[in-house]
Amino acid sequence: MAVRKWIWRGLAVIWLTYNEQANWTRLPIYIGYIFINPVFQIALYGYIYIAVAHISGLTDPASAFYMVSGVALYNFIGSGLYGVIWTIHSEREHYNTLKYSYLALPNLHLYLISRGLYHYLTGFITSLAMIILGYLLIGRGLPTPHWGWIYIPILLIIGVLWSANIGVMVAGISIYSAENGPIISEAIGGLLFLVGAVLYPPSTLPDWIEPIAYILPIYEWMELMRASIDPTYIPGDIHSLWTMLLIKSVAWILISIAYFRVVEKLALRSGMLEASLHH
Amino acid sequence: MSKIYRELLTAYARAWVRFKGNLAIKTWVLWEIILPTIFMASVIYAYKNLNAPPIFIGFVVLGTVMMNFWYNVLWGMGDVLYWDKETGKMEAFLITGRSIYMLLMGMALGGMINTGLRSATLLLIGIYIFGAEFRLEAVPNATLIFLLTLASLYCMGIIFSSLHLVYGRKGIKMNEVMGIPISFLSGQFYPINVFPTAVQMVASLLPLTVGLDGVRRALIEGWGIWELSPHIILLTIMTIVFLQIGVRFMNRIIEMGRRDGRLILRWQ
Repeated sequence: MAVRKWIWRGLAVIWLTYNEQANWTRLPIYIGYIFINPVFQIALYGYIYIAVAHISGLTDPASAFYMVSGVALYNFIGSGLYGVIWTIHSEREHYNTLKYSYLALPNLHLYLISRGLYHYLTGFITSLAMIILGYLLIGRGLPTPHWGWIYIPILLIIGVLWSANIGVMVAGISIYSAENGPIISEAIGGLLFLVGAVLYPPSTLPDWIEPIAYILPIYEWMELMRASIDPTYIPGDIHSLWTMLLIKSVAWILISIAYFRVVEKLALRSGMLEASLHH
Repeated sequence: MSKIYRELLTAYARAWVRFKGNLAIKTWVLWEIILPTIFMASVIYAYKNLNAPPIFIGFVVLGTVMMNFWYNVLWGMGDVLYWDKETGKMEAFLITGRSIYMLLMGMALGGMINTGLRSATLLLIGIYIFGAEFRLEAVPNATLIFLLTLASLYCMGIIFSSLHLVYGRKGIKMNEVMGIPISFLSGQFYPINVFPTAVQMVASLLPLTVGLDGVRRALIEGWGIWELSPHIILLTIMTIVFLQIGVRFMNRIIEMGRRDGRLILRWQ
């Protein structure tokens, strides 16, 4: 019964998020709205490769695949992260509803992840469109089905778990810093974009930044997703990538749970969940 | 005190509030430099990974610098009147009887100065950290194009401000979908001649595309004032046209708002 209750709560939160996001317009316009940025994003970054090929004549289809798949996959992670982190800011500062949401679902960690789920869902749909458009843009033709695709749902779930928990940690900072909340969400998104094997392998980065890429699970996740999407992509030792992804994901989830438990307790004690600072 | 002086004082006051307001939280100033730097660095490393010629670094740095102004027009000018209305400042301003255009001019000037300071820092980061190379002798020509681009962009901002007053929250959603598409169409990371002709034609209707192309031609390829004259003419025409449209829109919306009592209506 308890599981059923939590599923219903989760679905209610997804429904709430949908309404919050879409109630400003009609459904067809909203659908267009959620696709505009991802479509142009794949064009914006896909053309980096095309521009180099056009101007210097250098072509490298492997790098082209790396870039378009990276941008599409980043869209999935970034959308969810944004959804989780922004919840504190939008509910507390804009709508003044965080305290009521907490009364309805008195587990802020789970509430934040549930609020992010809707964004992961829209992120998945738009990322799919981005992959297809990206393939067409770089002249690869549409991807053909193969056995590696069975790993995609598993990797997506793992991706949601580690990234949502990192999002929860950042949201914890946002509770204490209303003025920097929105910036922090963009900063973590920017950091993942820079070091997360999105447009280039981390080895391209300067030596002092490169280690950051290996602290986060995004590198392994990106590489395994690419290998699952396209069997011709060889990311290195698959087994060690899976092992590292699982170890890092579990570690980040545990850190997030422990950290947020403290943050939530302190926030309740100091009244931060209902204190609007009008930012 | 003459009327013109009083109106100019209005613009100055709004610019001052904007300037000081943006400096109020020091961490914002820092983040507004760090965040574009992160994305600029990502694209520069992407080009390095593709073994692209060094000229691309200059493209990315100038594109990032100019895009900053576009974001300022969208978020620092477009939706400010809407937020002024939501927070009750619009009512206070309207009873002063001063021209709303002076208020907009003040917002534009304050925004330009703030964004200019952040963009100058980005430019220095681009030059000294990422090694972007520009032709110093072309700085006057590039400055002329840059100022004309700002004029046309901020005149576009008047149009956005008036639309935001009408559409309320929908205007914010409109802003959200005008960042990345404009970034793509203006050729933020590469020249637009890599696009198909139809896309180039659409992109050329944007002042940012024309301005960015002009600044790049001057600073990277060393084009002289004569070669840049099509850019100058186009940007001048755009400024006049956008100003005309913006003033008409704003007058009409204020007139409608006064008639229907919507100028101070909140939670639209």
